[in-house]
Amino acid sequence: MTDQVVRVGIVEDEALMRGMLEQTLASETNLRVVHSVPGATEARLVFTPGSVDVALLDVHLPDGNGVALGVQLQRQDPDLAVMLLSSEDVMGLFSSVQEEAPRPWSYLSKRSSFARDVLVRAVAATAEGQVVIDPYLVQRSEPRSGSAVADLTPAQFGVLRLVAEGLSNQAAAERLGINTRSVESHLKSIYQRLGIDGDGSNRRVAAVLAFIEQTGRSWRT
Amino acid sequence: MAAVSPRRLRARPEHVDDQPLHDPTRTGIVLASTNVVLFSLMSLAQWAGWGGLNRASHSGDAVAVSEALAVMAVNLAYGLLVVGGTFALRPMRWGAKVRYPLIALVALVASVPRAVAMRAIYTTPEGAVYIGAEWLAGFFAGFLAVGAGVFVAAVVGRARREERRRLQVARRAARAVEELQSEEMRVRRMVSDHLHGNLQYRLVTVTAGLDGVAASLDGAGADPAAAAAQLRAWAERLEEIREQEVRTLSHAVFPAGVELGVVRAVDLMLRRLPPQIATSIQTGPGLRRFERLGQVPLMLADRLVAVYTIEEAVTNALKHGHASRVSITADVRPVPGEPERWVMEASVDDDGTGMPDTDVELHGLARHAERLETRGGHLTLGPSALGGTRLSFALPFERTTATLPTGELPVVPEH
Ligand SMILES: Nc1ncnc2c1ncn2[C@@H]1O[C@H](COP(=O)(O)OP(=O)(O)O)[C@@H](O)[C@H]1O
Ligand SMILES: [Mg+2]
Repeated sequence: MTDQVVRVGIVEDEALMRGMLEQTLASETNLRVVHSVPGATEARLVFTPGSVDVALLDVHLPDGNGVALGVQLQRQDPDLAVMLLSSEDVMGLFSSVQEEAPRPWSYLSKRSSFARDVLVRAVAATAEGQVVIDPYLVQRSEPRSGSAVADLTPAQFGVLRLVAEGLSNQAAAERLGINTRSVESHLKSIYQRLGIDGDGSNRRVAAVLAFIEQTGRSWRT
Repeated sequence: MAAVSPRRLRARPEHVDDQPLHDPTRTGIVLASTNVVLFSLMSLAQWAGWGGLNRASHSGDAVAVSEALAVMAVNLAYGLLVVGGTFALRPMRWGAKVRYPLIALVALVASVPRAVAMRAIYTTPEGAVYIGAEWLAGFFAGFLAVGAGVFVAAVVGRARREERRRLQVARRAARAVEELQSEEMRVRRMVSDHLHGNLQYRLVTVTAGLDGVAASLDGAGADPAAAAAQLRAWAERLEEIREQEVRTLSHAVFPAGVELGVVRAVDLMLRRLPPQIATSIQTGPGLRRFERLGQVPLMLADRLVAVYTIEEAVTNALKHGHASRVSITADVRPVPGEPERWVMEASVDDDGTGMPDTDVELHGLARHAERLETRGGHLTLGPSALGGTRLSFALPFERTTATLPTGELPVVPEH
């Protein structure tokens, strides 16, 4: 974690939800809420380039769509990190937008954003350039048949899931009860099987994007 | 697997009154023939004017009558030859640049035997100037008589086509309104059934379950740990209801992502398919261009038609074809000669069992085929290269220049 304070902007039309987000984030010393507005119109006015590090955008806004707003804000300010919020599962939407956005986005369901530690960790990781996917949805995602991700071993897929949740190698190792070295070696095989090359954080992001694209929601009915 | 060739689904038979009342060519032939008869009568008058009648009467009435008949017959035969020759070559098939020179050629060819025949008639003048003038006049008369007929046929044909097009547009508009109303009623009924059926019932079970947990905490010897576990299970159940039931309803009214374009909405839908199904979607260069510009070329109403048709095809592939792979392509292209009118062409391929050999009764597809036809499009079913069924459709639309719903996006340079 950097010592620098992360500036957060919130666009959410439901007042209760907006208030909850503000409160949770404001109580963190390394986060600061600089804007909190209810619609796309206001957001376009106040989110001036360079004033925000992470934008938290609700997908359904009364005067537009959070996805389109995010693309627009990010094209004006390529350093802006975007995290989508939605009460519906919009993973599919989210995967197709990644090709268009200048920088990959994170995505949290509203349900998960009520969990303080999940929200704070996701915002911080997103500010650092990571892609974070909602842990609840990640746990319910299964490899799509015929995709490269479907060829991963169960252990490798388990590691990829935690990376998609935005966990560091160390945190993933703790969660899985294995050592960090094993996580690293799993990751290496994952990159190889998914055909990802490049350097450190780029590869991590590419792996998460592959996860989003090549999985589907499993239903336990 | 059914070895059927692709066939177009027709929701309704073609309208009989879309056909022209009668052929414009016939109008042309009638007019040209009338002109030709007039011409032959006038040539008779002209022959009398030359003094031919005068000369013939010197040889007796019988000669006068037969000579007069011969003049008329030669000119009538000539005229009819030009009419017949021209229309046998189907002049309406050609453009004006070919059509009129064609008539001139026919008239030129036919006017030679006419000039020879006219000269053979005893009472016509003999001089070279006379014969030359006579031949030229005949040629022009034939050309003009038939040319006028062909010209009128072309004008009538154009007016007919225009009228038919207007009729079609008006009928399409009327059907679109009708279709919109019945679609609205269908969705209303569906939403209402769902609210009162599924959703209501599932919420009632949650209420009862929560009551049960509360009761277990009331009594003596309550087990808070067990109750907490039960509460968590109920929370999970509620989450499931929200995801499935509420989503079904909101999807019927307005599919998620459709405000961002057809492909986005379809992407979202595909992701929700069971992960055991391999899926792919491929957009063509036309759609990709609009995407780069941040534009959504289809109006919302048209996008809904496309998304719901694709969804029906995917549902059918899984439900009837038991497919394990679904592959979608979509693109848009302009309709040549009609500015602002475009067409979306999409297809859904599956590797399932294929359509049954017997004639199938259509339900969902019939409705979608009708909606497409109302907009001047069509829907086709046939075998797929993947081994199952291929559904493809064309949806014409008026292009909008609407940008994504937050206003203009800066243009991304083409790579
Ligand atoms: N992809 C497909 N694979 C196999 N059969 C199909 C497919 N699509 C349609 N059919 C056949 O066409 C019939 C009509 O489909 P549809 O109009 O959607 O009505 P419904 O799905 O309500 O039966 C189906 O009952 C099925 O027999
Ligand atoms: Mg069906």
